[in-house]
Amino acid sequence: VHWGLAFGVLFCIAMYVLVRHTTWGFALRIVGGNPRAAQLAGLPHSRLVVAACFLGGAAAGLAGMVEVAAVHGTANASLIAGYGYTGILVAFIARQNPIAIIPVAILLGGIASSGGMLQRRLDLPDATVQVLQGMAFLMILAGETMFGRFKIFQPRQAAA
Amino acid sequence: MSDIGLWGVPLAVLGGALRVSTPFLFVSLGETITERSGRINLGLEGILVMGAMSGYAVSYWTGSPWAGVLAAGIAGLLLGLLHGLICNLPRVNDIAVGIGIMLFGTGLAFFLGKPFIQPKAPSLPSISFGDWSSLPQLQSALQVNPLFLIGIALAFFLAWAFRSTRWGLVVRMVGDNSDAARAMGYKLNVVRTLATAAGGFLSGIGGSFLSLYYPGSWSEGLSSGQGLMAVALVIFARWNPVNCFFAALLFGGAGSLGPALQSVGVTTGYYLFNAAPYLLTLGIMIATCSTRHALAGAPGELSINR
Repeated sequence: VHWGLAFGVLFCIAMYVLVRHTTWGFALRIVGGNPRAAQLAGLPHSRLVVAACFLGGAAAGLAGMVEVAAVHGTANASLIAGYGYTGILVAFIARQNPIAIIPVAILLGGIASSGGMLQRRLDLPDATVQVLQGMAFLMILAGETMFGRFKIFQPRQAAA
Repeated sequence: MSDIGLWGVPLAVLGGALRVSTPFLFVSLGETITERSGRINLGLEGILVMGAMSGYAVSYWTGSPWAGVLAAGIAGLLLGLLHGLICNLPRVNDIAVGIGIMLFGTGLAFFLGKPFIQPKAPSLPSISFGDWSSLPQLQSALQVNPLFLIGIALAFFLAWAFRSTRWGLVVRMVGDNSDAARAMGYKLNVVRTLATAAGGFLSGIGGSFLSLYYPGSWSEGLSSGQGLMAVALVIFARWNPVNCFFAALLFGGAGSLGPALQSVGVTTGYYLFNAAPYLLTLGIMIATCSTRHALAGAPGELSINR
C-alpha cells in the first residue's frame, strides 16, 4: 500500500462533499440533469462544465502522478495500461457517486493485480482476467435495466 | 535515380496515407452507420482487435486471406449485435456499454489469440499502381490493398444509400427523430441493433486489414487506439461517409509524417510529429465547432446531443 490510495480516498471524499454538499456542486448537478432549467435559473452553464472538466483532468493527472511516483518509479511507455478507459467504467458502475467509487475501484484494482498470480496458480491461459472483467462490466451495465423495476432497487429519494 | 532527397517526404506521406488509412476508413464507416441510427458504439476498438485476431486465425487455418476477412467481419458482427442487444434494454447507457465491449473484445482477442502470435498466416495480396514509374519509392507508395479500394467504393455507396434508398432513409429517421420513426411504425430497437451490427461487421473487416496486410501479423499491441480515433473521425467527418474517406486519408497521411521525416534525416521532434494527427484533429474540431448549436449534420437522437 502506498500513499496513492490515501490520495485517492481523500480526493473521493473531497469530491463527494463538493458535489453533494456545496452550492457549487448543486449547480453542477442541475446543469448535468437539466440544462434548460439551469439556463432559466441563470447558472453559468459553460463555465461550470469547463470547471468540471478541469477537475476531472486534475484527478486523472493525479492518477498518472501516483502511477509514476509510487508504482513504477520511472516514466516509460509501458505506463499506458488502459486505466483511463476502466476508470470511465468505474464511474458508471459507481453510479457517479464519488464515495461508491472507492470500493468499486479497489475491487477492480484487486482483480487486475491479482490476475497474474491467479492465472499462474490455476494454470489459466493469458488474459483470462481481462475476459472476466469485460464480461463483468457488460453484465453490470446490462443490469442497469433492473434499476427501479423491483422494490429493493427503488431509489430512496427523488433524484436531485 | 533512387535518391530523390526531400521529395521522399511527400511520397512517404502519400504511401502512408494509402497504407494506414484503411482500418480508419472501415471503422469510421461502420461507426457512421451506427451513429446515424442514433447510437454510439465506442466498442469498435475491441471489435477491431477481435476482427484482427479472428481474421488472422481463420486465414492461418484455411490458407485463404479472404476467408479471414469474412471471419473478421462475422466476429465484428457478433460483437456489434451484442452491443445492440444490450443497449436495447431500457435505461442502459450506450457509451458505457461501448467501453465495456471495448475491454471485453480486446480481452477476448488476447485470450483466444495467444496461439496465433507465432505462426505466419497468408496475407492479402496488393495491387500495384506504380508500374508506370521508374522510382522505387513511388512504386512502393502506390502498392494498394484491394480492401482500400473496397472501402472507397463502400464510402460512396453508403453516401448514396443514405441519401436515396428506403433503408437509408429509415436509418436516418430513426437517428434524427425517434418520435417520427415510431409514429411511422418502424421498430427503433430493431433498426438500431441492425445498424450497430453492420457497423461491427465493417470494423471487423478493418481489423482484418491490420493483421492480414499492414503491419501483417497478429500481436497484442496491434491496434493502439485506432478504433477510438476512428470514432472521433466520424465526428470530424460530420457523419458523412465520403468525408470519412477524406478524414481517414488525412489522418493516415499525418500519422506517417513522423516516420517520413525520420527517413530523410529529420529526427528532432520525432515523437512530436507522431502526435501530428491528433493535433490536426483537435485543431480542426476546435476551429469548426460552435457553442450556439449542435454540430451540423449530427443525428438528433445521439445521447450526447439529446
